[in-house]
Amino acid sequence: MERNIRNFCIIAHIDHGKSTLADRILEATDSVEKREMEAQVLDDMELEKERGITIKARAVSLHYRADNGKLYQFNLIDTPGHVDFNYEVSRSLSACEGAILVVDATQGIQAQTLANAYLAVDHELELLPVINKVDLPAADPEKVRQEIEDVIGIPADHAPCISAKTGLNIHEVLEAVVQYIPAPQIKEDLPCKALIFDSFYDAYKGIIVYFRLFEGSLAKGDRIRMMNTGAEFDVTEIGTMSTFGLSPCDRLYSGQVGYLTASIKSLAQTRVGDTITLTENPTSSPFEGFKKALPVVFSGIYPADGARYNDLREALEKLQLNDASLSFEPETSAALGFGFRCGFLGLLHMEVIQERLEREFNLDLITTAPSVIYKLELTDGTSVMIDNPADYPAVENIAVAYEPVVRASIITPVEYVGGIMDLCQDRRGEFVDMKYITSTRTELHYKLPLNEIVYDFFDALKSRSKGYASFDYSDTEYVPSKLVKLDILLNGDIVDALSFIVHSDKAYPRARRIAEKLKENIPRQLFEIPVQAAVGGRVIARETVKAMRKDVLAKCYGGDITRKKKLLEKQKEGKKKMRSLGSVEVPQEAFMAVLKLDE
Amino acid sequence: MNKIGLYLHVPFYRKKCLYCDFYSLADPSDLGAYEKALCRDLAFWGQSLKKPSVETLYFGGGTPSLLGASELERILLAVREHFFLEKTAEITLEMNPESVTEEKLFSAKKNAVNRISLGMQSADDGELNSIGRLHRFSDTRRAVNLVKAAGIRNVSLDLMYGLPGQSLDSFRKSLEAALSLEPQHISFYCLTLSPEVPLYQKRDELPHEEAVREMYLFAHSFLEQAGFEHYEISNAALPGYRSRHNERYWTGRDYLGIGPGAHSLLRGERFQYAADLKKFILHSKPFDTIENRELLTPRDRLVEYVMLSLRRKEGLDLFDLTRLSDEAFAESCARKMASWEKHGLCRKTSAGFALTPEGFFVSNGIISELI
Repeated sequence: MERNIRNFCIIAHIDHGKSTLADRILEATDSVEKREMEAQVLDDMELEKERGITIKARAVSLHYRADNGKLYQFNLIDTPGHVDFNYEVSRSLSACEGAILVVDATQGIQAQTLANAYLAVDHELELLPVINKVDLPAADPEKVRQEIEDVIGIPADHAPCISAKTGLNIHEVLEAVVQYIPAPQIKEDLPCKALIFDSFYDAYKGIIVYFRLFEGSLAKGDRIRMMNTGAEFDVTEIGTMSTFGLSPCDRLYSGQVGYLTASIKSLAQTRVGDTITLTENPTSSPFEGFKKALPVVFSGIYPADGARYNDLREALEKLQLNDASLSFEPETSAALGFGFRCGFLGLLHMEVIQERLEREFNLDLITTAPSVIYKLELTDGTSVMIDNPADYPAVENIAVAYEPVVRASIITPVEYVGGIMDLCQDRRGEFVDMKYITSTRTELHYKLPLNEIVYDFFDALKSRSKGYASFDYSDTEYVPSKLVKLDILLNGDIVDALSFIVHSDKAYPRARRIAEKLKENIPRQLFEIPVQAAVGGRVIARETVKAMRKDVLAKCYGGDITRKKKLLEKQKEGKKKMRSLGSVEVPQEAFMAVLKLDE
Repeated sequence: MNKIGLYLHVPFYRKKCLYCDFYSLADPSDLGAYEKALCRDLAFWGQSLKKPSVETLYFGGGTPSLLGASELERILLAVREHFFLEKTAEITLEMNPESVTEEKLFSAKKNAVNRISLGMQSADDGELNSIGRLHRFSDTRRAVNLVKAAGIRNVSLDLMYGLPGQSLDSFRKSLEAALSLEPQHISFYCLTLSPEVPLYQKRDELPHEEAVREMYLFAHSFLEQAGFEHYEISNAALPGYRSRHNERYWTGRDYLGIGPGAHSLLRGERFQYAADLKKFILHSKPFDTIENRELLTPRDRLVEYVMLSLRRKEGLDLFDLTRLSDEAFAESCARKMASWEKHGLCRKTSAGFALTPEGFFVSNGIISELI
């Protein structure tokens, strides 16, 4: 029986080297043969590898013989690093006693460094700072060490200076894990109490549940109950996760991390954050903090080719098997035909899902402008939540409208502060405060309406800071707001898929920009097409797509009919890629262009 | 075998026009070998098609007027020997104004050539120069007079618009000059440059499309006023003088093209001679040098019908359209046409729909919308 256990995770800002460090730890503990190892073992989704980010948590058990001669079981729990997955992060953190905080020696503390560090402290985790990328010429480990102490407020004198890329000082990290991260408390005599921190679908075994056992023990054959959903199952397999796959065993004990299978069909029955206990001898109360992760951003997703509607549905179903936080329901648009209204945890989540649909399922998509959830108090005394502009009531029926506002944290080199403040101002941000992290970097706090962020805010922030600013947000609250629904009309007809909700002060500039973008992106047609933007039936912007003036084969061509025919067929193929909205042909790019107005 | 139109492609020229992308060659030393090969293939086709009736015969190029009187005579002799050339056949010879001679016209007339198509292009010598033509307007006037003197009563003049430096005014003058020569038929082609022709380099100097459109619409009303019938996108004729040969192309009737690069439609199959004079001279049987064979599918027939019938004044016949597709398709076409009628692009006919001149000028968009 092993009792020398360390349960920990690695947290970092994106690209600070979390996954590379995980690889080095796996190598150093001889868990993975080097030659068998693809870079970054823990991130096993293709997309994660390409984006260098971890989307879903994974976990692995390792064995490490420390300098003191003792053998330790390390349970390394990987966490998603992004605010969209805050709930999942918090569940992963709950399963640990400590966290390695990786900070890039060339970049210092960034927005997600702070957000993750605070989250770990909230979960009473022991933080072990590690300064990475010290091999780079621009590295300044001592400055970063000072930053960690000043900004996060934890001692950093013992922080190993490493290069996860070259493997420099990885041994120090492992020894620090043994020395500084507390061993779990062993409570073997109590009834079984385990926390689900991840689960995923396997085609052969059904749902595989990852859990941390806090109290008691759990064995193959036990009848278990999920305390929040109430679902009961018989454990068919239990074990630990090694780097080469699942290692079944008979029983796991308090303090350990493992997996179980129990012929579970649906992720809905094994929610992350739920508590596992035994039906026969249950624990008294579940872990606190369980909730269902709720979507905050919504968007319509349509197949560019209407015939692929069923493919899209199947693809969404497959993604949902491993991502209970993705929600979708069928939606019909007069403009785009059949598609789905999808809910996401945040912007990154939305982008990841869209990219996976396009890449893994080879779907060509048209997406509508992302929307947040608005709360409306109606004049008849009732109130409604609206996440789809199509459902937005007529303005005379609305008593008060509320929109979600988040607390945004932006860390940036000081030279970009002006531009970023302009951006936040432009996005209706309310300045809260500004703190200097060092003499060259500051942290800005703003209250920002979420609907201004979901609309190309990241891109704008990146372009104004040459990519140096980092951004995070939390704490949504609803505040009263002057909202209007902006409709776009082509040739006099409203295009439902282009409608969106906007603050009334922003309606006019936004309307003009969209009309311009549409004009640029809609090719000339057989007759003139007015492009109008209207609020409540009043046109506030107008452009015109000019009529085609010359499109004819009026040359002498002998009897060469074939060439002419091919030319026309080609022209027709080009039209196929367009959406026919009434009498107007609209290319896919036009729908995309209105999503990126800051260009 | 149904009746056919016969097209003979003469791939020689003295100077290639700067906009021409037809297959043509400068070296006339192969003219003799070409003529022998042409006669050999006439014999082959005449035999394999069992001496079909020829309703129209067309010498196109290149510059067919480079053929000498004796060569023309031998070729026409071969046509008569291997085909049944109808007494009423329309026999057209394309000529460049500068290469028209009394002798050639005499020979042509003697061999029953009854229609001359002259590449006038413009009455403005500066414009002619800019597109690399050898002749001047005075050559055209002289040529027309010679044609009339030779007793050939059916003359077609080719004009071009959208030329570098051309204005509506200079185009109007060309039209007036053309009419002063009293032709029976006028073709007016829009200069269209493919990337491989020399003039493509100067495409920035071409008149703006709005100006080109004006020229086109002007030509329409000008010619209609002068009693011409604008019967195809780029063609107008006095009553009774349409090009019967070209009408075959537009109505999907059989034609056989012989010569390098020539196109044919025979019994539901389109094919083309390789655009290669050497191959044409040396091959032992035409099939060795035939390429781009395309057996027309029902879909091809439908597409071609829509595309070709909308080139013509008569337009599209909904009954024919239904026969080639189905009622639903014909109805959807009729609906679209009706909506374009409001924008002045289409007009109703007794049998269906036709394009207006404005519609002709955006006909690619209209056709690709329908097919």
